Amino acid sequence: MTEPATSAAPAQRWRRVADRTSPLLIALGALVIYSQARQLPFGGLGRPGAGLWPTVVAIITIALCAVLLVIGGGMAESITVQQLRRVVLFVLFIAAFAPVYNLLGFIPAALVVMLGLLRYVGEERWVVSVAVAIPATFAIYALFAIFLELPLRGFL
Amino acid sequence: MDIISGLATGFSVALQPQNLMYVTIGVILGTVIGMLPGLGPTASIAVLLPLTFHMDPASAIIMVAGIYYGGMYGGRIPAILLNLPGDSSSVITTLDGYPLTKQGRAGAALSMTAIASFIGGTIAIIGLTIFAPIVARFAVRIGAQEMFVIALAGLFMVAFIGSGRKIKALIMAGIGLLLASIGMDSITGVPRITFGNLDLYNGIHIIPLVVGLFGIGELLYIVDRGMQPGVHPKGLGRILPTMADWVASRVAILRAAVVGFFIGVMPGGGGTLSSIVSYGIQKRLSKNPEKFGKGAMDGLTATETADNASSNSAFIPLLTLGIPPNPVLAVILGVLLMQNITPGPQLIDSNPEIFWGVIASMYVGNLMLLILNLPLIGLFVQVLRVRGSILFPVVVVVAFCGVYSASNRMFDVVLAVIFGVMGYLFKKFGFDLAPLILAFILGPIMEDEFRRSMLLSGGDMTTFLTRPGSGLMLGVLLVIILLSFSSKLSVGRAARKLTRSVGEPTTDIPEQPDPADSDTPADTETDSENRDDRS
Repeated sequence: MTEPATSAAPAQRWRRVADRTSPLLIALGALVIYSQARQLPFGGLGRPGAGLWPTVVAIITIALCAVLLVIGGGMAESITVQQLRRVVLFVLFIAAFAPVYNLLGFIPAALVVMLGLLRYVGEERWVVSVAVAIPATFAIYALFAIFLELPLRGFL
Repeated sequence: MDIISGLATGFSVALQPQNLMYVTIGVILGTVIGMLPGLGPTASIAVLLPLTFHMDPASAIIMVAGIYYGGMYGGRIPAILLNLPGDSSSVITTLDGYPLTKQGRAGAALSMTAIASFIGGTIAIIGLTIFAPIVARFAVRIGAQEMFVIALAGLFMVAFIGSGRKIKALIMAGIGLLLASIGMDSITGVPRITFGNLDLYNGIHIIPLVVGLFGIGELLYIVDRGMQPGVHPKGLGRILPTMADWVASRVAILRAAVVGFFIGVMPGGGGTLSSIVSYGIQKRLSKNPEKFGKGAMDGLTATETADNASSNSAFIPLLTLGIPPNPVLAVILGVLLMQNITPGPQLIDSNPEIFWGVIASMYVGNLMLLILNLPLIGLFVQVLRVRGSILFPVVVVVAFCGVYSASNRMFDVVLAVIFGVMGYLFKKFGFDLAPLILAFILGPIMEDEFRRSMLLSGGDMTTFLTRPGSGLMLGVLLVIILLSFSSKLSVGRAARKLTRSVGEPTTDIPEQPDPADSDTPADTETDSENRDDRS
């Protein structure tokens, strides 16, 4: 799984973008929480309301993000297209678990995740993927649903 | 209940046959999961946690102890054999562990690691047995202001001693506190920041958060860097250490146990810091400092002893104050809470069987690690032959089962995926996850104690300064913060300096080394050739 050679310039550009983007994204998240917290009773220091703590923490977090934005993070890592492809595929397959479970049950959901990860992320051969995914799915189902009595629906 | 009768009660529970079976399973599974590069003890516990949900509290705790010890030891195996540290604390292990492998002494290095871990762990547990009841009696008198300051200090210490940039650590702590504030307000019962979603009314469960950040996030990070092909380590050499190894290590082990014990009690202490400090001390006091970095057995044993000792003594603040000093203990606190056990000053009096049961389970878990790992080292090493691309999908589905079983709702699985992506992005952007998880655990304690302090003092913020206990602790915290800016009080910096000083390739603490970049040992062969011909 060798990565294609990449020049240093795009990697550095990515790192710079990531260093600037990450505090902005976090600040945005904190701002959303701040706006929600402001709708709660704030109270005062003598009788703090439900909104005081999250409001104060959100403000501090946003302020820290602003400082980081100014001074720069400097520790972000670069990512190649191939890395991104692998990560996106991985996320897509694991994100499929919950909807497939709700639609078809545990065994199809686990099979989709395992086959997808083995074949398309791990780049295993189909025969290896199937040979691992099927017994592993049933073994996990047996362990959790039968041995540990977890209410997992095998099939709908 | 005195110490002897307390321990007798604890052991009567821990030594029951089914509990011995659970600890054995825990050690084996913890070792196997801990061996997967990137998945340290925190992730091992997170992924295997569901196995404990349907057990009674004592059995669950004893199994978690087994997973914890197994996970820690498991991380040492790729560090020593392949120069691949599984977690941050095993970076120091590679300095002398891997050179020993290159000398054909991998077996002795692994067995001395197990023995040193056992001795360090046992000494620390004896210290825990003696000191925990004393601290608990003192802790009963602690007020809301002191509890708030202790929790705040824990958070700041992790941020300021940790491996990353301080401001990033503080931002992560802020995110953790914000995530913890989602759900019903514990004092007024008002739903907070739920976005109208009923699933969020009870707040975010620790299991999807931990599995997501430390499990899925780590897997994503490994996938990003390219999955490690299966590795075929050749011979381990002689498993049992020689007399010369013993002679070289005996004083180092005892010294490191004491150092590790005291560092473990400190908030933010933990395995990495204790390993670094102990290694540095041992190198300075050794008769052969030139051997360090080239396969010094006393360097390796000092590191491992201190790591295990600190991991055990870290239970003192957890059991007596209810405050976890590091992320692994934060997860273990989550396990205890799920079993309706609330650690804190009252635990020793209200639930002595649980308090002593936890301590007894640590003795048993530590012993089982030694008993199982010495004969099974050769077998565990075979796990390294399995390709990551085959293991990781199985780990993902097991982790999902665990998340689902925490409260039987698929919403938590969705959350775990979201937190997994967040965990991955945080790592890519250079943010350390430890402050986030600690803040998430400490958040409710901090908020409750802050609000209680404000109610008691009528909104007077100076109450934290005017009360002697909290004022003194704030002063100490301030000094530590100032020192951290002006001195070398940083795990990352110290580790980098240490690795440079012994002339080994530096591995940045929070990062998982890229297998492609690592110094692959000459006596191992990868199955990459086999992979090339796959369609």
